[in-house]
Amino acid sequence: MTNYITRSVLIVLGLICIGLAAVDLYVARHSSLGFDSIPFFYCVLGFIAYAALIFMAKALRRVISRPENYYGLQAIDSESEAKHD
Amino acid sequence: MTNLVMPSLVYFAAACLAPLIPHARLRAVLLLGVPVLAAATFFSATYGTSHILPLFDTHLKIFRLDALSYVFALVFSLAAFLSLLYAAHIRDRLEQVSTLIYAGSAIGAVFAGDLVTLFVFWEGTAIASVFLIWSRRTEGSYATGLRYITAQIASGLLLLIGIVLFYHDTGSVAFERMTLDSTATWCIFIAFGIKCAFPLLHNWLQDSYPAATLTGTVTLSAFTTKLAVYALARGFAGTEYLIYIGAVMTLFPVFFAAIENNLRRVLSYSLNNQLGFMVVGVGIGTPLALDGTVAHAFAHVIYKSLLFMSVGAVLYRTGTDKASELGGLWKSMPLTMVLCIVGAMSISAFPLFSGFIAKSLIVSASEPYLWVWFALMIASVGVLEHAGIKIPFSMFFGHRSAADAPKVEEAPLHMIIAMSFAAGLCIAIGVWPENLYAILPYPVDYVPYTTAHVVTQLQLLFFAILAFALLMRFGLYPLEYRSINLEFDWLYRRFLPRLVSRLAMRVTHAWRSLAGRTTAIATRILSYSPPANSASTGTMVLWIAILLGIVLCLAYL
Repeated sequence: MTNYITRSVLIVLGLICIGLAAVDLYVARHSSLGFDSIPFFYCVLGFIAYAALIFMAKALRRVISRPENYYGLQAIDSESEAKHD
Repeated sequence: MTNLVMPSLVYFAAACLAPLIPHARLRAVLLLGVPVLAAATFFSATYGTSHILPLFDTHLKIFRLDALSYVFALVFSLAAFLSLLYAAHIRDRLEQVSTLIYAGSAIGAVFAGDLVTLFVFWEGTAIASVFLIWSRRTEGSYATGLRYITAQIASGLLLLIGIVLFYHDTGSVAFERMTLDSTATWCIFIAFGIKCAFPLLHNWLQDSYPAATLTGTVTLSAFTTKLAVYALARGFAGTEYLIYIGAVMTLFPVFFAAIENNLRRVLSYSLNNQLGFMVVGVGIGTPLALDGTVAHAFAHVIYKSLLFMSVGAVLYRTGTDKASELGGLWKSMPLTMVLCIVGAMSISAFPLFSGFIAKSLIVSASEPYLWVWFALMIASVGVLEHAGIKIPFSMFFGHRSAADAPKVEEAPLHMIIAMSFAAGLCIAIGVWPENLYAILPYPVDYVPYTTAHVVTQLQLLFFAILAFALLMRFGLYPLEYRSINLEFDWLYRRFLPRLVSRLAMRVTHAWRSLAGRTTAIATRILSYSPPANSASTGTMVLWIAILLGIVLCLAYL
């Protein structure tokens, strides 16, 4: 699975992010919020929110994950998919 | 009052006539004309046009055209066209008729000027749409359809109770802005809330949409929930509860979507999250927020259809919509991949795509509510995660290389045309937002393409993508496997039935035990008494006479 996220993709992404972070220093914001004018606010928010979301979702899955046939014939989850159309 | 033909009638007439056309391909082509014809009836009509129907001692406004109903009817017409085009290979008359009645009812409800007309069409959408689930014709879809229709009928019943009480309180059934100050309006509010998939009332959505046929899901995704958003915007704009309900709606589905294996269920959670943005807009209730809600609903119907269509195309070719079973399809379905990515970029609100110019109206309007604004920003990252990255990534790349992926054909031509049409609209709306802004209910004084807005949005999105890439690189991104995740509906699908069944068993056991003991005691008592035939009839009569005498004495005392 990690084949797709090769070193080159990471480097390109890293460069884009560095570029966007650099632009941040030159763009004046006119939002009524105020605190979002802190340098790199949206960069940090995007990164941390994404990572936190994934780790919380993984923790949630440990509690709520069940086998596909949990609800048996009362749900479509364990049905043979070839039946569609 | 005009001679304008009601657009819903065009759909209903077509639903009656369509099954009579024997040639399936001809039927599919003719059906495409229905949304066009119906849209032509109101497309150039002037705002303020209405139809009044006298009924008993009141008048029903069965048709009302204004800016709000116009935009929703227009996007519903587009969605009906896209659904019918996408389903052009379908031969099942039941599914085609359901689609027509469903779309016609949704458009009829949008044009309803009074609550009674709204109720009739509200129920129409419920009853017609369940057949899109039952058309899958499996035991699981039958059970799921029953759960779905139960939720929809509950909503209809509450709406009916609300309407009766509202008429009793006010003497009117006009569908205008209401306040939550009576049982009547609360009933109507909750009825709308069920269809809008408010938190804890939402499970019917994620349960049923993945259970429909692959074409049925595309149709389902467009109408019911957006009709509820319309109804809330019409009836409860500015109701503060909605801001917080909407904020919760944007947040909680992103966690479930991130770990869900069924991609159509991932999109259903995503739909729930998108509804949250719209509900926040309705709750704020300012012209900017309401315009944002309407613009977002318009853009959302199109890109969500596109995403459901792309997952449907993969399901059609591979036979599965589960992330754990997919991957590596970029080589065999390149067009579907590109179109899916357009949908993914639209929903993630990349600049130049429709989500960007629509969602930003709501986010800007939410700035006075700091925590809500913050929730919307986090939810935006969540949207990027499950709809922007997970959907295309798990189908076209994922854990399989192109060499390991099953060799399948590209999606059929009609599906590609439908998806291209939707993708074209996503980009056109994103590039030229002024066309959408021009038809919104209030004048739009908002410029989405400012340097600061574009840069901050790109920062948010690209840094989130960087987080995804790093998590993947270090093997921390959750891999999908065949499973389901428990949700709130576990309470009524598993816990309560088991509780009731156990209670019933205990009561039965206790009853049997009590009956057994009573019989034993009675048998023991009888065994001590003299045999019944040992007493003479005379003795018995004597005792009865004595008892009667005592009763008489007591009566006269």
